Amino acid sequence: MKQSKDIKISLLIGIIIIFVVTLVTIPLFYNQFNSSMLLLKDKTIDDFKDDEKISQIYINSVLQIRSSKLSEYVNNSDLHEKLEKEDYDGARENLENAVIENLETDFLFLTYDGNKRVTDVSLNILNSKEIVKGYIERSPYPQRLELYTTKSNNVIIFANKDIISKKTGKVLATLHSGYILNNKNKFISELSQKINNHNVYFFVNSSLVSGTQKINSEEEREISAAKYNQLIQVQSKLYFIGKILINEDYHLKIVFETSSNYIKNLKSSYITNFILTVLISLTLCLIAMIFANKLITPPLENLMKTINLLMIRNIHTPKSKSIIREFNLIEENFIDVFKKFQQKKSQLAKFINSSPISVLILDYRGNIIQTNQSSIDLFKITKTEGNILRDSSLSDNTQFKKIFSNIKYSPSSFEEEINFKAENLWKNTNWTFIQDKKEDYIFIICIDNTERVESQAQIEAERSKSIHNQKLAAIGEVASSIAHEVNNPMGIISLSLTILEHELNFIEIENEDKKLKISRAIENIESSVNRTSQIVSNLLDFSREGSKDKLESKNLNHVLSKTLIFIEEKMKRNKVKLDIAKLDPSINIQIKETQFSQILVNLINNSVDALKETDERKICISTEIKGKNCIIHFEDSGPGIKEEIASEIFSPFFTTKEKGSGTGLGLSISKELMLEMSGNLKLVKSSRGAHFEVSIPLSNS
Amino acid sequence: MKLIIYILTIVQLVSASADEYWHLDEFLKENPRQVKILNDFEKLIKSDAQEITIKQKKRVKIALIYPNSQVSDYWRRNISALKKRLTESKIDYELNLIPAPTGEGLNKSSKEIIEAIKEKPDYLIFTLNINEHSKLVNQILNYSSIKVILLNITTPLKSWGKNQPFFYVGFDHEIGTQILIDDIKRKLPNGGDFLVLYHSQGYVSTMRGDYAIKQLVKDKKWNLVSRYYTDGSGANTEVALKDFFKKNKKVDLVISCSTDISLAASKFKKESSFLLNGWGGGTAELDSIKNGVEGIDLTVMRMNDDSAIATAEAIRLDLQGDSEEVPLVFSGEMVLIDKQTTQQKIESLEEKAFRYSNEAK
Repeated sequence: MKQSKDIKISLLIGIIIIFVVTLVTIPLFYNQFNSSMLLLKDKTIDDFKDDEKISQIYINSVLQIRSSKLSEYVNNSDLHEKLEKEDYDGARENLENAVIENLETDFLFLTYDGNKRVTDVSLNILNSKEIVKGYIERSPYPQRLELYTTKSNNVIIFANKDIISKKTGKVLATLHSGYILNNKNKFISELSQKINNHNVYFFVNSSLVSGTQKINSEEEREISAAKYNQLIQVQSKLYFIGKILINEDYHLKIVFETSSNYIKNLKSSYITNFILTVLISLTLCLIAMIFANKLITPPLENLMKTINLLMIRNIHTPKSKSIIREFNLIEENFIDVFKKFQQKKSQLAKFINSSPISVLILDYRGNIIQTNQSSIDLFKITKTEGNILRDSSLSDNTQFKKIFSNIKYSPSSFEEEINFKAENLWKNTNWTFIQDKKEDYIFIICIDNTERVESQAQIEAERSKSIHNQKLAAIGEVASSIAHEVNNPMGIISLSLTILEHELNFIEIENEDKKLKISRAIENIESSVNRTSQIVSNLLDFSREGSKDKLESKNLNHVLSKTLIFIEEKMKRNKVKLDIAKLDPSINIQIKETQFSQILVNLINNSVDALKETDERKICISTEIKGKNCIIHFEDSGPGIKEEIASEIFSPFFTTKEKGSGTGLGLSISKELMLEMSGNLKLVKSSRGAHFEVSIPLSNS
Repeated sequence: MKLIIYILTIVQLVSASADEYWHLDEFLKENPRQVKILNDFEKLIKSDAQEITIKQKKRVKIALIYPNSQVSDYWRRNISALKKRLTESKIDYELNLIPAPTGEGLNKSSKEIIEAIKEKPDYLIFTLNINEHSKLVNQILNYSSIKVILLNITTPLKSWGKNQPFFYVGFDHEIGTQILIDDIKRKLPNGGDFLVLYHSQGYVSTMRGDYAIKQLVKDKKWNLVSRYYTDGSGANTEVALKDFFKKNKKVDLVISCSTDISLAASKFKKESSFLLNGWGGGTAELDSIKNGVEGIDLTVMRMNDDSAIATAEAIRLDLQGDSEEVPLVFSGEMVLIDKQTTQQKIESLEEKAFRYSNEAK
């Protein structure tokens, strides 16, 4: 498991505070800044729109004042009189005085309905005649106000008033006045005063006409490209583009300027506030860390100590209470829960320990994590915190080791029957393995079946023995009756042969060859009769109930010869050679003959079966004397017995033969019979083939 | 800042000029929602009266200030049509008619209005003289709950912004003038010299006379010879025309800005042949058109009762709580009448125009 980094709670609180403050303040400041900027922009636009309204009203009033002056002038009686009389020169004179004395105007001229006459007294440095002509041509119909732009971008606001005859109501003439807007410092500075001294500019056809300040070409270009009601920033200045209506057809572009410093101020104020917030947060964070260190860490450490003492040593030492109520509650609750847990644990431990079933909890290296008394007894565990593969009787059990080494590849839960040897006693056990691969432990339940299996085996052995005995008895009965039946004719044959021999002595046979042939035939018959009688006699001996036999001194060679009769046919059939060259024929041994023969048959029979699959088929029986015992070696040239099953071959019902071919009782019974005869049967390690060793006491004689 | 704006607004109102109006087409373009309301409202005007759907808690008080000396029967008919439509709509009303003498200046007519306000009517109906009354109307709009209905004006004042009177109703001068100009151009395709006979200086003269000049001189075939201000008086018209003909032998077209001017001008057709328009299509004008060569040649006939019916409908809807169905401006229907218009057609149009006021004759 990955080890997480150990962080102090106070530091954690500090980090959380910084994290939360960062998470909250940055978007908050960002949004607030944006909202403020928007509000500021709206407010600036609103302010500029107010300026725009004021400018419109101011310009209207200025134009109105001029219009009023015109209205006043159009009632001039002298002018009326001159016009009524169509004295146009007189009218010009009157007008010339007016333009100097009363009317603050750059253009002043009269037009007349129905003819193209113009009385022009304009006073300006522009090309007045051309402008007046252009204006009249373009605007032949009555128009109160008009914005006129010359080719050289001079802008003139024209106004007119009808001079109406008091007698007839006729429009005698129309008086026009014109006001050049370009560089009117007085006009524009007065307007600027009305709008908090903001700089103001007039644009016509994308060109600057007039302004309180000079503006550079970049500013002029940006402003010209901007739309109405738009707020734009050029360099460090803000410009608002407004519109001043002169009449329904004409308007002026009015531009208001203000410094954009307050945007900078707003930004710097936000940055200052942000830094302050960060500093305050850091201070708060530091204070919180100190407080946490003072208030949380000691009670937590106390709590941990209490828990450790309780868990490791089961000691409850009441500590001074923390000022934090929750910690006290946790401690109280923990102690309570822990006590209940201990109680339950103790009950469970008692239950497991007293269980007759062996319980083991191991890790994957075989280390014992938990065990109970039954396990200790069964597996002869020497160290309860040791390793099952090292410190128990399972340490040399091949089957267990094999299962354990492959356990990771086995299902999470499985059962297995294991036979193992504990202090020279074989144990038959049923195991249930439950493993948790993630948590690295194996839970094992083991049930000892030895007694049950042993009694089962005994029953089986007894039953088998009984069947065997019954068979032998039956064979014995059959053999004795056969022997009886065979012996009688054999007696007659033997007697007849004796008579035949005797009678032949009285018959002269001239041909010596024939005589010899007859004599040999009779000898053969006699020899066969004797051999038949011998077999019958041996059969009778073998079929007898051996268990009730007494130990008798018998010649080993003699017993072996008698026994081979039963198996020599099988050996011949399987082409097995028997080598008894190293057999001492003089050895007499103390045996129960029938049972000993049975052991010999078993051993030779097993070898013959094992040799079926080999090319060299040979059984060697040799003897040696060891103390008071005769050691008979049975060695064959077969494949031998594998080491992993070597310890199990004397177990009842253990067989390597195919099902139905063997009972698995042969070696087990043989060993039992040898032990009955104070001897033993052992498997000896061999480099080639199987090697059994039968030890049997020598006869006293 | 706001105070400066307010003060300057007052100054501006006094000096309001023609450019401070929303021209009707301009207004509808700026307020497209009004087009739908106006279309629905027009259907009501063409339909029979509907009974008011609520039970009035009190009698509605309506004050109407009208010029008492106009030759045109426009006002008389308007009043009777209004009364009849209100009655048909089962509105419980009290109509206070206040005659205001014409041409007596600002103070006199304003005094009449102030008197009418003192009676605390629910609705105040009068014709706006922008130069004289706008300040007063502004006060009514700002400081009283009286609902102002402006008759004969269809161009909302821009400076009132959103605080507009309840209802502008009448026959749009520019639409009417345009109908006349279109027919004049058909009748005199080669153009010619023309004379303009204004009313007094101000709104009506600008909207009718100046608009006609503007539309005619776009075409170089037309030559403005002279202009006269008549104050709407027949006598002044005669003086003007005498003066004109003293210096000029002939003129092709005389543009008149009102019925009284047209009727006075028609007398000069004996001496000189010119095309003469009327304005409004009232009974006097229709009679003059029928009067052969010497009468008025063409006029734009207002479906006179439309404005009274519209006023009554606006009041009914407002009383019912459906004031959002009342458009801000309503211009009644206008139809061209000339000497070629059959008597039958004229009678049919008269029947339509005076569908309410005829019976009261």
